[in-house]
Amino acid sequence: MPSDPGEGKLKTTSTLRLRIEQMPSSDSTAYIDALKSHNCRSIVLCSGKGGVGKTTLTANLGIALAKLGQKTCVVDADYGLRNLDLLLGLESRIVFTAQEVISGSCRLGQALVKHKHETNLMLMPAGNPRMLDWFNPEHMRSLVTMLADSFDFILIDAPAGVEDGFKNAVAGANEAILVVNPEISSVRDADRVAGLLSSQGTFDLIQLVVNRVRPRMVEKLDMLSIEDVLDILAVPLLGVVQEDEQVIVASNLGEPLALGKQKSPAGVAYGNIARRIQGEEVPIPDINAKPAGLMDRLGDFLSTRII
Amino acid sequence: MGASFLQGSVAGAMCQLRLSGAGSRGPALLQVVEPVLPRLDRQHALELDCGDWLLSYMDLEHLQERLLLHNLNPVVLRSVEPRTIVAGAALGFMTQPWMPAPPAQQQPPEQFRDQEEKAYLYEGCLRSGDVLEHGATVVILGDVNPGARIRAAGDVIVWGRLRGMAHAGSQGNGAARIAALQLQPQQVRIASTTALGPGEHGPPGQPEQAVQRNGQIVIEAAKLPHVPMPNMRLRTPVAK
Repeated sequence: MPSDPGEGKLKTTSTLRLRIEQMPSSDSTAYIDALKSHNCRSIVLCSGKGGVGKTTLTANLGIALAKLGQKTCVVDADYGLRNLDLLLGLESRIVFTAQEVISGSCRLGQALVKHKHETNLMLMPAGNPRMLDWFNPEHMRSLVTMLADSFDFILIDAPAGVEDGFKNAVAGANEAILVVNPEISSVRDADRVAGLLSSQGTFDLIQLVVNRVRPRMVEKLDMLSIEDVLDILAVPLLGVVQEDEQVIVASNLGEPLALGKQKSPAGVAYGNIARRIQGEEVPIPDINAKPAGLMDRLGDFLSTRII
Repeated sequence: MGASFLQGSVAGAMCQLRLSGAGSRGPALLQVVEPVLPRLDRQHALELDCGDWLLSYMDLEHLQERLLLHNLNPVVLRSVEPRTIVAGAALGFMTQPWMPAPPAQQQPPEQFRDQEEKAYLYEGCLRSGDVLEHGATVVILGDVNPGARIRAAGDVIVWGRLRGMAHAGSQGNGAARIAALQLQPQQVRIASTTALGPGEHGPPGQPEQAVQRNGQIVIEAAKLPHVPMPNMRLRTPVAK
């Protein structure tokens, strides 16, 4: 017998049970209309799985969009484990946070932190982790509505998981970028998130960024290819970012690669994604591995197991 | 509501006094039993089948007195109603809880009757974590992604790729099948048989189905089983 605990409980012969996850979306249509009237695009970056590079991508896309002249605000919606301020190198400049804005104890402009180099970029910092207890989707909508007046783009960095924090983050957006790594668990989680987002019915656009791709592993069939990922998710591809050690260096420095201080493939990819978000036609380059150099071949040879 | 009498066999089986009628209670008991009393067989032990009558200690005592007057001694008492069994046990009967008829003989409730026949059509993609359950055949126009689950009492038919888990014939119908344009499920179940997915791609462009054969699930080219094929005449190529 199948070892499914629910198996024996299904007794009536003629019931229909459809459990496609639904999220409450009460007055969200009115909210989305208001966003559009401000000509503001509110984009949530989510993945389901943690550690795939949501926050890094948010920081870099924020910088890249700002460099293109777009007034951009990045909102840290990961209240439990906030990191966005660190990656942007703005931790020390935070005075007020989203918490104070919602409670009315400071003005919006007082909480927004302007980026050191890109003046078009502002950060809306997360409050303390206790925000998890009271913050709800309605708060997120009112926060984004306040921001919509003065920005072209709002990027919301969602927390990992599909629980309350995620639902809050998603409530404020009318577009979504799914961040996925070419590995089976990340794709599975992203698939679930895609289902949750489309069931909400308030998203105009859901796009996909495949992050941390290692072309040489893909070539050796050790890693899912972009086609494999798209085959399962069936979500339009917005961009591909290669695995890049420079990302870690830049994170530690608090200077995202998109600033363009170092030349790196990931930095270029972030810039391209930002241009595609703007609506430019930028072809997605084929990420075939460069011909292996002598050292690579030597490394391959050494790591080949001879049985 | 009524009472009937079943003759015991020569082999020593008890003869039976059976009460019928759902939800009946004690006061009507003697009226019902009285007409059958003269027909009761005195040679065999008597078994009282009380169905789902709710009978009190007093009711059963009256009945026992009545039967004793006719030289009948009931020995065994069966009932679905627990309170009747308790009352019978108090009077010294051998009591046996009586199993209701298997559900297959019962008619489904009125509101489900026409729904039971109907297949359910779902348009769209079932993504990881989605669950679809239905009491008849399910037809899906779209893909079923890994991590999604479908459970249907009838067939599961996917006009797309099936890469999740599918359970056909969940109520025990072993003749149910799972068909898809591309059949690459993680796991398939038909009635109570479980099998892992094939793990490899089928021939491209060939819809496949999983069916149960001799207690095992096999995958084969999909057919249209329920549609009688018209008498088709194959076109013969014209000779040049």
